[in-house]
Amino acid sequence: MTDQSSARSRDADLLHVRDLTVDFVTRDGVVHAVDQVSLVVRRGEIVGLVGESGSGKSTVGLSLMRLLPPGAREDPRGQILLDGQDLLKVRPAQMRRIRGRVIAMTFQDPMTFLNPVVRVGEQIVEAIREHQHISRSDARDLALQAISDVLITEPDRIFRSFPFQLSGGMRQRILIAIALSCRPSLVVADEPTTALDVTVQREILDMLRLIRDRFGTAILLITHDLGIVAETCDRVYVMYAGQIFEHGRVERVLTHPRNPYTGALLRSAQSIDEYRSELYALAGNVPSLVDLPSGCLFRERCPAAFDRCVAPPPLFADRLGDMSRCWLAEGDAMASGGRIPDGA
Amino acid sequence: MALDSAPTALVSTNGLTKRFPVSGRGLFERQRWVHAVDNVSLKIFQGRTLALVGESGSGKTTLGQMIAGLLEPSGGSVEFGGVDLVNSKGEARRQLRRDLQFIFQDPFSSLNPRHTIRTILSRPFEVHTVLGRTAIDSEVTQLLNLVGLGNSATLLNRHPHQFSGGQRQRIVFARAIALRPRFIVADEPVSSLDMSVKAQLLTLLRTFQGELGLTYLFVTHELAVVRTIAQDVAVMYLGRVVERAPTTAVFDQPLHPYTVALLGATPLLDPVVARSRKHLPLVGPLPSSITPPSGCHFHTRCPFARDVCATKRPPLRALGERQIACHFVGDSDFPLTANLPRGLVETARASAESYAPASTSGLVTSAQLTSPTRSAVPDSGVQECVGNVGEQIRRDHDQRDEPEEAEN
Repeated sequence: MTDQSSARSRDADLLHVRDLTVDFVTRDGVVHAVDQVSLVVRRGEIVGLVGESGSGKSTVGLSLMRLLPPGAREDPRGQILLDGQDLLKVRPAQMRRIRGRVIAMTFQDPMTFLNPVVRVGEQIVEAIREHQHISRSDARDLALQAISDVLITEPDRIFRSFPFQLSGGMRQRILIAIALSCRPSLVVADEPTTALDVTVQREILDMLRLIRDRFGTAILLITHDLGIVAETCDRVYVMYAGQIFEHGRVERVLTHPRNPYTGALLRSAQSIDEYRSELYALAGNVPSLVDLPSGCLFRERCPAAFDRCVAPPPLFADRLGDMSRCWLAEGDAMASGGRIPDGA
Repeated sequence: MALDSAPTALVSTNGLTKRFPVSGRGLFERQRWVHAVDNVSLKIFQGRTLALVGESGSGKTTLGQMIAGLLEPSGGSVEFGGVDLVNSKGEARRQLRRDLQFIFQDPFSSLNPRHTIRTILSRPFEVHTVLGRTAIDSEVTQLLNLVGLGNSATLLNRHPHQFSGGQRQRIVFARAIALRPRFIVADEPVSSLDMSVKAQLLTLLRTFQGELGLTYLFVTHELAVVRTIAQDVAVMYLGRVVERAPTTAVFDQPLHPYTVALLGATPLLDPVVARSRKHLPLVGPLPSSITPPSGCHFHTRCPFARDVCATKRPPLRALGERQIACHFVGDSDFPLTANLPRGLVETARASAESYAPASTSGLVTSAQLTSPTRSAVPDSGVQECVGNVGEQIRRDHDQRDEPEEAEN
């Protein structure tokens, strides 16, 4: 056990997801929510997972936490390696010990996840004592520390508050405090600032970076906002219709996107630093996940579509590990000595 | 009225005020009020778009609803094309309802789920015109074409739930322009939509403006959208307008400290610029609008506040082509007007290093913020609302301002 764990900690890849596939069985048919998603999060990294609604980004997050609702089917051929341990094969009792201590998650709507009739301090104490066998007063000290960690002054007062007495930004901080209370290696933050005002959003994003710097916590930031990715993340995965379409360093992906979908997304996004007299609007809609089209899933909306797109493109990777799911990337990948995936 | 300059004001408000009573007072307590909109005088120019921006609780939605005639003001007046909107009655009111339309944020609750699209889009014609069934049908088909939904007859017999969020919002737009209004108040019309769909609908709004000569009041919290859609901006803070100016002026060089903070907090798409630019951290939490701060409402959070700010309300003063409510903006020794010859964003882009140090201007970069010494950083405390039901109501009210991400 000790040999194994030391071998694990040498591994820079904290999280390694391979070919994660999730379907939902519904009345209308099988929804292919996540299709062979592979991603890596290294220790102390902030990685963005960005996509429009229905892209499957939140499903990936829930799957990492093993919190998918009944009716979800994960393909057993996939792997979620966290510290070398495959979470898809872990029993529920064991998962409860991993959840919170190694991997934790925060959600978009704090009010749904905080108990409205319990003081927030008690809720943090409860989370800590669920995972660590320590006394109430020790847990209380840890909880106060957790509240200070998310840059709240007057932790005592907040400890005694009920969720409804706090502003939206404060509630989100409390959720993050709970997630951090057992010092996990990885926090999955699902849309942590979506319902918040920009000035509060700015504080929360700065805080996430500070937490990474101080505790070395890796963060998988799930968002629909490319601006948040630009401000916060080191690397980014772009999802579309359940698939990873592009991956790379944020500086490269957002300035020189290789995948036409990322390019279209960037061109249609509005920004305060630029006036666009011609607004670029991507035609059409995200394909139905029940009845997926053949070939490239973006083909019908793609401004660069050509005859090869009738066959589904694999995720081409170049030597640096940047990836694009597009036939146009094939040449780049080969020229740079990159990896041509199996089945290409 | 409105004889000032070249652009004529289609809508003007004069000292518009709205306060809501706070429920839950005790028998001997004084009635308390939420001051949602406090003495706002604005002009909206013919054929242009005024964006009303602010964070939740700023009163932007309340102001928009009063201007649209959906909410009775507590004080002040709204004039629409020379007609007093608040006190209009009978036929004048009826005509106003044709000329003035409202678009809500949520396309799920603004369309009756039990009606077909035909019923929904026919209604304006049935109420306001004498057209017969066939004439109405052809109008409706034409509307669907205008908003880019095509003219298939089968569409007309569908119900709202059979459409996506973006398509539903197109139907809402179609209903709004059905009677060829002159003025539309749009409250966060694209906030709940995905990026690519958002661009489609903004394009549509711009097209309508060009083709139908529409004037818009565009209420939003998304500053990025403002640059695309609006020629003028009014920034609100706790019920008051703090800066009003042409959009390019505000975005190139925001002058009111709150506008500077707001723009600095808005994410940029260029990672390099985003991480090197300066921004102005606000001090402390947003005050309650039941007991707003004295003097300038912003003084409790303003890094530049001086004594006078706590005692005297700054008037909306003209500074070139803009109006600003700040005692010091325009003074040569005021950091925001003295040290910033160009926009924050552009300064940051040109060179992050050559720019004046943070100490004098009160501006910091993200990098400085994430360093362990965090002295300059505001504490964002709890909102003062312990046991305060009114605050809760206000916030619930404002929930409607918030973007809603359709979940996966």
